[in-house]
Amino acid sequence: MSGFNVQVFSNEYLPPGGTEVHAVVTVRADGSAASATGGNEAIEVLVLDSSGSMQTDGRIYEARRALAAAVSQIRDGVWFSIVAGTEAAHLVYPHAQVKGYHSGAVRADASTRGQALEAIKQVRADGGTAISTWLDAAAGIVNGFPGAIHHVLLVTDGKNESEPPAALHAALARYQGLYQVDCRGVGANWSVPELRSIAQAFLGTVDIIPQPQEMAEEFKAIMEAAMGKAIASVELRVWTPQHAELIFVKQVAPVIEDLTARAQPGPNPLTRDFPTGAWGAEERDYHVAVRVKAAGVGEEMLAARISLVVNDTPISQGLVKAMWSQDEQLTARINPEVAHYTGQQELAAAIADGLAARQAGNDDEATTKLGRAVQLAAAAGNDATTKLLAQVVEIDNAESGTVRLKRNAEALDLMALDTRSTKTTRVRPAGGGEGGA
Amino acid sequence: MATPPVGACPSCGSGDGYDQDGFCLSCGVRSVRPRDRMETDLGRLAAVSDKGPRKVRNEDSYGMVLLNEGGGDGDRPDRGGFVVAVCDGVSNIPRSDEASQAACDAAVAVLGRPVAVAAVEDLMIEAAARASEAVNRLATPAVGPEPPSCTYLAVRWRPGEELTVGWLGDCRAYVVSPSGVTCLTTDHSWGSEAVASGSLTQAEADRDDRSHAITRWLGADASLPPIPAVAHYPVPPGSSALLVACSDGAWNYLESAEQVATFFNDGDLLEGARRFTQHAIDAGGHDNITVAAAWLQMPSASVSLSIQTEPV
Repeated sequence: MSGFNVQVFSNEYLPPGGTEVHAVVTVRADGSAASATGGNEAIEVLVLDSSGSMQTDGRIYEARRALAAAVSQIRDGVWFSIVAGTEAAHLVYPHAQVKGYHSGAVRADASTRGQALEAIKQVRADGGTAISTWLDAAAGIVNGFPGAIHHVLLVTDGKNESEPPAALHAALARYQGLYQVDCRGVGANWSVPELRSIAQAFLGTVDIIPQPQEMAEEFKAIMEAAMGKAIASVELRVWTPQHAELIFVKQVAPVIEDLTARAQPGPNPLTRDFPTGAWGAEERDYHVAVRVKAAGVGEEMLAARISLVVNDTPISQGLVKAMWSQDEQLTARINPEVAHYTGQQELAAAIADGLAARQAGNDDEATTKLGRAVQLAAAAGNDATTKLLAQVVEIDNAESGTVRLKRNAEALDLMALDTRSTKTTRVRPAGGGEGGA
Repeated sequence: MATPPVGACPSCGSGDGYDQDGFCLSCGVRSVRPRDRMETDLGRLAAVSDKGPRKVRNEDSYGMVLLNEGGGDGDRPDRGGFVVAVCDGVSNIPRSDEASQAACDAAVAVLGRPVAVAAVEDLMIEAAARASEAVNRLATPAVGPEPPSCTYLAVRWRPGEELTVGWLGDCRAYVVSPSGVTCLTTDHSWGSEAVASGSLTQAEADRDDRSHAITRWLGADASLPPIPAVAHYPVPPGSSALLVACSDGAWNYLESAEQVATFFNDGDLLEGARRFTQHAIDAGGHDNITVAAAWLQMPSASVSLSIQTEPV
C-alpha cells in the first residue's frame, strides 16, 4: 500500500478521426502515505505584514492574536520562524541566542512556543510594504532545511507599494516552488492579482480575510492544514505518446489551478513532471487533455500515463486510454467527471471575465458573463459560489442566468468573489473514490 | 497473463518496446493485444478464444486446470479430472474483459480444490460467489455508472464424480458421446425463458430481437444473488466422451447441437476448438468466440470417437 490511489475517469471511445482525449485523474493520499514514504521534517515560516496601515481598525492587535493562535497549532518538533515584513523583513522569533537556533528557526516545544508568544507581543505596525524582501527572508530560512516540507503563511493588508513591481516578479522567478505559500489579504486594500501571482508561483492558496477579527480563526485553519502535510514533494508525471500534444494539465479540485506552464522535463523526452507541493491525507483532482494522432477504428492507444512521483520514486499510476469506434452510442458519451469539471472551469472563467468587464466599465459584458456564472453555479449546485455572486449581482432567475449588476457592490464582496471563484465542488463527496458495490 | 510482445512496433516502427499491457512505449498504440487470440493445449484439455472480426476487443475468457492429484488413476495424464471455466464479458461496458478474466480465475481457483463427492455442489456455489466478488471488485467509480459484468460457466469433473456444471447466462456446455450431443445447460436468456414458460414457441423466440438478452450474469448490477444453475452428467464408464464449453459467439452459428461433434471428429481437441472457432468467424463472427474442450473418457489410440453425425 503506497498510501496514494490514482483513478482515471474518461470516455475511452473516440469517433473515427477523433484526436482529443480528456480525463479526470483523482489522486487520494491516505494516512499511510507519509509512513510509506518516510515522512519529512517540516519548517513553518509565518510572515506578517507589519506596515503602518496595520494600525487601522485594530488590525495589528488582531494580527498578534492570530499569530499566537497559529503558533499554538505548531506541532512539537516542527521548525518555525516568525517574520515581520515592512520595506524590509525582520525576524521576530527566534533570536540567534535562543537554544537550538538554526537558520532563523527553532524546533517547536512548550518552551519555544512560549517564547514566541512573548515575542509576538512586541510586533509594532510601522513602515512600508516591500514583499520581495519578505520572500528573500523566507528563502534564507527554508534553505537551511533541505528536504523538509517548506510552508509559509504570508499575510498582508496592502499593496506592494514600497518597491517597483519588477522586484516582486524577480523574487517570484528566483524562488518559484522553493516553498509553498498560502497568502491572505486582510480588508479591501490589497491587490488580488498580486497575492494570486505569489500563491501561483509557490503552489499555494489565496483568500480574503474581510474582517481583522476573523484572522485568528483563519490562521488556525491554515496551520491545521499545514501541520497535516507529511510528504514534502509530490509530482504528477505525465507520459504522452510520440507526436502527441499535451493540451493542458489543470488541478480542478479543490481549487482550479492551471499547471501546464509548470512542466519540468521528466526522465525521458515523452514525460513531463508537474510539481504539486506537499501533501497530507487529502484528495485532489486533475483534468488532463491530450491531442493524439488518430489511429484506425478498432485500434487502442495509451493517450497518457499519469504517475505519482514521491521523492523521485514513481509509486502509483493511472492509464488514460483511447479507443476508436464507429459506435456513436459509445463515442458520444461524455464522462460525468469530465463534464462536471469542464463546467466548473467555465464557471471560474465567467466570473473572472465578468469581474474584469465590470472593472473596465463594460456593463453589458459583465452582466452577460456574471449571468452565465450564476446559471452554471446553480446547475452545479455550487451554493457557496452562488452566495458570493448574489453579493455582486441581483439574481432575477438563476436557471436562465438573468441578473442585474449591483451598482454599489462592496469592494470586499467583489474581492471575495474574485479570490474564491476557483474553488470547485466535487462531483461526489470527497473520500468517495473507491469501493466496490 | 500476457507476455509483452517483442520487436519493432508494427504501428510506428520504433524498437522502444512495450509496457505490460502491450502499449508501445513510443507511439502508445496497442499493437498486440494478447487477449485477441488465446490458445491453450493441455492435451486432454484445450481451449481457443478469439476476438472475432467485428468486435473491438475480446471480452471472453477461459480458465482451465488438470486435476491429477490424489494418486491412483489420477496420476495418469489420460485419466485425471479437470476444471474448465468460460465467461463472456457484457459488451460495451468498461472493463468487462477484465471481469470475464477475473471470474474465470476465481472459479478455477475454487473448483480445483479436492473435496468429497457430496461437497461438489456446494463448491460450485462457492465458486460462483468468489467469481462474483472478483467481478464486483472491478466496479470502482472510475469505471462509470455501468459496472463490469459477465456471464459465467464453470465445469468440474474428476473420475468418480459426476460432471458438474454451474452457470449464469448463456455460455453452454455440451457433452459429445457416441450416442450423440447433449446440451447440459439452459440459457439464462429472455428467449429461452419465454419458451420455457410457454409464452412463445421456439420459432417465435428465434425471430424476437430480445431473444438473446441475458437474464442472469455476474456483476454489481445483477438483480439476483450469484447462485448458479447447476446440472450434472453421469459420465458413462468405458465409452469415450467429450465436454465442449463455449460462449454464445460460438454456439450462435451452430445449425444443430450435433454439429459440435463434427469439429472434433479427429480427436484433436486444440484443432477441434480451432475449427469450431473458425466456423463461427466464417459464419459472421459478430461476437467474441470461445471454445474449450476436455476429454471425459479419452478414446484409446486405436479407437476413434466414432460419433454418428452427418458431415456438414
